[in-house]
Amino acid sequence: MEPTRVSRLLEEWSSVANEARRPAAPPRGVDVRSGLPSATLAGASLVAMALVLAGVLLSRPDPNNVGAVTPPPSLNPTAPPTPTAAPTIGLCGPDNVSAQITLWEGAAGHRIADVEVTNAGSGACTLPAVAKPQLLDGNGEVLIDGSSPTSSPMIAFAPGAVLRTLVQAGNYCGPDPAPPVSVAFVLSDGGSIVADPVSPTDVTVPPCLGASGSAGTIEMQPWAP
Amino acid sequence: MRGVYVGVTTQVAIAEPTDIAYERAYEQHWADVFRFALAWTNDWSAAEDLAQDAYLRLWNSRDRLDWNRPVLPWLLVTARRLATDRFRALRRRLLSAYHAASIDGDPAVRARWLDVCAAMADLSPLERTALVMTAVEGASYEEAGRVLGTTAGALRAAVSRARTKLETA
Repeated sequence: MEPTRVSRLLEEWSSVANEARRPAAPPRGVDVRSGLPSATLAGASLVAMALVLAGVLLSRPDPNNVGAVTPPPSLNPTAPPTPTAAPTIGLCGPDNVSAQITLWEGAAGHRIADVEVTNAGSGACTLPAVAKPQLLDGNGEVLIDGSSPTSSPMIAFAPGAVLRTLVQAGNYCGPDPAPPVSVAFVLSDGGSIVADPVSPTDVTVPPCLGASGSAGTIEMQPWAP
Repeated sequence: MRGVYVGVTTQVAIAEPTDIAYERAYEQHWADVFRFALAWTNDWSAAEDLAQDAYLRLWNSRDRLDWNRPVLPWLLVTARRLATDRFRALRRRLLSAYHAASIDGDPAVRARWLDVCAAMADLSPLERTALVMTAVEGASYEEAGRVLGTTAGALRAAVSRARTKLETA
């Protein structure tokens, strides 16, 4: 019996679908994307406020510690107390934070990097919830340059804490990049945090959808826990 | 007929570490999850994305999962749910790049896929997936219904509509 149009089409569908290539290694990691696409700057602000509040609470005296022995105040201090400036939290930078691309994901016409940043320093610092993202090649050349945000809430970033974001890049029409491709976040002071690539040989770039040499796009979600 | 849904039993000994079970599930079922996602989305890149996301969910749920039960239905239901909520929003945003970026690799495969994709584009996700699951993958209407969250009767109707649309296109 001659196959029908439907059966021919389904046979072809199955044949083409079999051409899919499974990525070599299964994905492992924290699925950080479920809430992020709807994340907003307002959400990031709440996160920042929560972190600051947590810091304030942690710095308060422990009410359960009232019985502890404390030195009595001296009636005759040898030196008058001098006012000290309130501690300020500096801007995070490459010296105290480290970033890592944990996964590149495909989306129609785009590539999305899952990026984690860790405060590897000994003290807290502040990180803008959004920064100017860049796609870099292995030589540090900017493949796609993002836009600087007009404003951004600041996140108090405690030592050891981890924040995550998604960086979506599209339309790269340049030459083959030198490995490894990575993502940088340019801060307001001109410094930048460059994420470690997923591998030393990674050359993930989004496909070219426009004319040769046309500009690409790159944008980031606000950092969030 | 691949028949992958019939009697699927990716059973793992209880003592087997979950990371090994996870890798085994990846090797055994990635193609099935991808094909399911491809049928649902009719978009190659989106299907790859969904398959990876479904496995990420599996990885994150590995300690709570009963690995003595078949894992493929769990993966397919997860992929469908991902496709119908979060990913739908993402797809809308990226729709302009839809067909052009479907396959980055072999141009011949890409051309064949674009033809198939265009032919299947008039079907709804449910019609397309019901047709593929029952006519290509060999699932029963009851099995497909459990994965797709609907009844066998509704799936029969969906498959019938799909066939009519394709025959008259």
